[in-house]
Amino acid sequence: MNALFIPALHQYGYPALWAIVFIAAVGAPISGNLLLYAAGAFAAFGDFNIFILLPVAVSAAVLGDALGYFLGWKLGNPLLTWLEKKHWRFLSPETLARGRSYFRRRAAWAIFLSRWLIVVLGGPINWLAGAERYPYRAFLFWDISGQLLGALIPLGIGYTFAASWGEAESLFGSVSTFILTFLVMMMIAGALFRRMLAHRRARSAQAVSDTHTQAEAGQPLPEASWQTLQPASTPAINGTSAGHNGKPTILILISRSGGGHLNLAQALRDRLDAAYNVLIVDPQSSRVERGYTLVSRRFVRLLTWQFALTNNKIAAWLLQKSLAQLSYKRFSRILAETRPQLIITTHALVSSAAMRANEISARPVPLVFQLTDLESLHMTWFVEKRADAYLAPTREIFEQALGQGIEKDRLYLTGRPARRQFYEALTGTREGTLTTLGLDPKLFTLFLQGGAQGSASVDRLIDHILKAELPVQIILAVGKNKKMAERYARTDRVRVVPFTEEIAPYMAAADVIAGKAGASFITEAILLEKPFLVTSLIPGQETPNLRFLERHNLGWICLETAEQQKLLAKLASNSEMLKEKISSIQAYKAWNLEANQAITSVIANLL
Amino acid sequence: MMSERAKLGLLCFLLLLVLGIAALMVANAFQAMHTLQQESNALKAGDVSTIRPWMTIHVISHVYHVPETYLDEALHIARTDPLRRTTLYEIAASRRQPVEQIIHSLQQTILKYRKEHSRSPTPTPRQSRVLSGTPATKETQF
Repeated sequence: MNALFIPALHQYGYPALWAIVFIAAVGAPISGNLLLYAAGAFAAFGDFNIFILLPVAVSAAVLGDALGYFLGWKLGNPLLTWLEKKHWRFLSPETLARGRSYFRRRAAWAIFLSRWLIVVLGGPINWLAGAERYPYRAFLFWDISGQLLGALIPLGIGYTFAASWGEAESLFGSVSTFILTFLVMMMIAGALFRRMLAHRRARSAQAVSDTHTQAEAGQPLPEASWQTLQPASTPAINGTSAGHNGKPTILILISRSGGGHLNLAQALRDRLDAAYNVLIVDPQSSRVERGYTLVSRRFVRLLTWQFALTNNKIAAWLLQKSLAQLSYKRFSRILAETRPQLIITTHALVSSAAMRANEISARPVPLVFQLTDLESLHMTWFVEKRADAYLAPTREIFEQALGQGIEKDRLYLTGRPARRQFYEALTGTREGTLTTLGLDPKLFTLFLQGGAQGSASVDRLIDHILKAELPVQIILAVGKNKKMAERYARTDRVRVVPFTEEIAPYMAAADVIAGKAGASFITEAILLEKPFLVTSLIPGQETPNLRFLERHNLGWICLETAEQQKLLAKLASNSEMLKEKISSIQAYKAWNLEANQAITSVIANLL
Repeated sequence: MMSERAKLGLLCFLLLLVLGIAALMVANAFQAMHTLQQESNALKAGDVSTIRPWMTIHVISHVYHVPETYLDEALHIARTDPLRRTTLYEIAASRRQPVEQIIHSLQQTILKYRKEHSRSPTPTPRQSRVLSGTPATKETQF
C-alpha cells in the first residue's frame, strides 16, 4: 500500500497527503498515519515544510472524521436498531444495549484515544459516535485535541528520525500496542475484581438468608453472622423509611469528609421535611470519614495539595470518573433500596457517582446539586453538567457556575440554608444562656471553635486572652476533643461545651464567633447576626471564603494569635466596631433568607 | 447461560492471555528499540545497507553524502527525468527491474564514490545485509 502512497506523496505533494489522510479518517482501511511518518521524514530532507504538513494533516483528519460522524448519524442508527431487533446467538439486544450505553459513557475517551493511540479504531468510532447521536461539539473538541496529537506524533517522529523513520514508527507502534494491551488488562482485572466481590457478597447474603431461616425455625443464631445484616450499602445517618406516609422521598447524598456537607444536608432536610420524607445517606465507606479526619488533623498540607492538584478540568475529570467507577454500584444499591423521587447531593465527590448510578437505574429521577462554598467552588463540581438543577448558595458561586458552562435555566440562586436551630436560636435570650453557663451577661463573650481543628492555636489564643486579662469570656466548643475539655474544665472565664447537636444557642449567646473559615460555620454565624473572626483555615479550599467575608464585611481575618488578641481587646472596649459589622451582616442575612425561599419551589417543580 | 464460576474462569483466562500479550509487547518494544538504535548507528556510520526502497535519489544523496548527479549517472537518469524526484521503488517499477537490483547498484556506486574521494577508510557494510539483495523485510520498507 505504501509503495503506492509514498510515490504519490512525492508526485502530488500536500494535496496527496490531504486526500489520503482524509480517506483514512473516513474509515477506509488504509494507514494515513504511516504516511505522516514518511512525510515527516521527507520534511527533514527538505522535501516538505513541517509547518505546512501539520495543518494539512489535522484539517484532513478532522474533516474525514466529521464525514464519518455524519455517515454514522445518517446510516448508523437504523443499522444499530436493526441489529437490536435481530436475535443473534452471541449478540442479544441486551448485550448490544449494554455496549451502546458503555460507549455513551466513555465516548470522549474513545474519540480522543482513537485519534493517536489506537488509530485503527478511529473510523468505527466516528461512525458509532454519529450513530449514538453523541453531541457534535463535544465530538469536535475531542477529535481536534486527539488529531493534534495524532499528527504531531508521527510527523515529529518522522522528522526527528528521518532516514530511520520506519524503525521509529515500529517502536512507537509497539509502545502504543503495549499501552492498549495494558488498558485492556486493567479492564479485565477490574471486571474480575468486581465479579469476585459480587460473588463474595452473594455468598454472604446467602449466609444471612440461611440465618433468617434458622431464626424463623426457632434455631439458635450464630452471633457473628448478624454483622452481615448491616448492609454496607445503606449506612443511613438519619431518615425514615422511603415513602411510608405517602410523601415523596428525597435522598440527600453526602460525604462525611468535612462537617459542612452534613450540616448543609441537615439544613435542606429541615427546610423540606414538612412535605417530603428526607433521607440523608453517606454512601461512602466509613474509612473515608476516618481517613479524612486523620488527614485534616495531622496532615492538613496533604489536603491542600490534593485540592490544588485536582482543581483543574482534567484532574477533576479524572478524579470524578475514577471515584464514579469505584463506587457507582454501591450508589445503585442505595437507590434501589431507598427508591427516592429526587436526589440531592451536597458533596462534589459523590456527584459523578450519583449521576451515573441514577442514569443507569431502572427509574432515573431528578438530580439536584446543592453547591456548597461561598466564594469559589472546586472544579470537581463542574465535571457533571447534566444535573436537573444546581442550587447556588451565593451570587459569586452563581457567576462561577455560569462561567463553567452550567445552563442558566438549570441554575438557581437559592442562598445557603442553615439548620433549623439557627433560625430558632434568635428567639432565645443571650442572658439566659450565659447565666446558665455561669458567665457574666454584661461581659464581652467570644464563641471559640476548638474541636474541629488543631488545638495548639486555640490554646495559644486562650492563653493570651487570660494572661493579658482582657475583659473577655469564652464559650469553648471542644467537640469530641476530651483532652481539651479536661484542660479548660476549671478555667475561670472559659466554659467548655462538649459536642452537641444543638450548638446554636451557645453561638447566639456570644458577641463574636471565632474559628475555622468553613462555609457552613460562617453561614450559621450570619444567621445569628454575629461577626465572624477567622482564626484558622484549611489553605486552598477555605482561602476563597476569606475574600467573601471581606467583600461582604462580615467579620475579620486574624490568623496570628497576637493580632487576634489585639482585635479582641479593641472589640471588648468598642461596641461601635461590632455594630458596624452587624449592620452589613443583617443586610446579607436578609438577602440570604429571601433567596432560601426558592428552595422549596425548585424542588416542587422538579417532582 | 454461562454460570458465574465459568464467567470467573473465562475472565481469569482472558487476563492471563492479555498478560502474555503484554509481555510479548514489552519484548517487541525492546527489540524495536534495539533495531532503531542499530539502524541509527549504521546510518551515522554511512552503512550503505541502510538504503531503503522508499528513499529518493535526493534523500540518498543527503544521507550518504554523495552528489545527486553522481547517483543519477549511475542509474542512467537524465537531469530532466521526473524519476529523479521519485522513490527507488518507482524507478525499479518503471524499468521492470527488482528494486533490490537498483539498491545494489546504488550501494556499489556509493562505495565507489567513497573510494575515489576519500582518504579515510570507508565504513564496512554490515555482513548480514551487504548487497544481499533483500534489505527490506518490513511493510514500511515496501
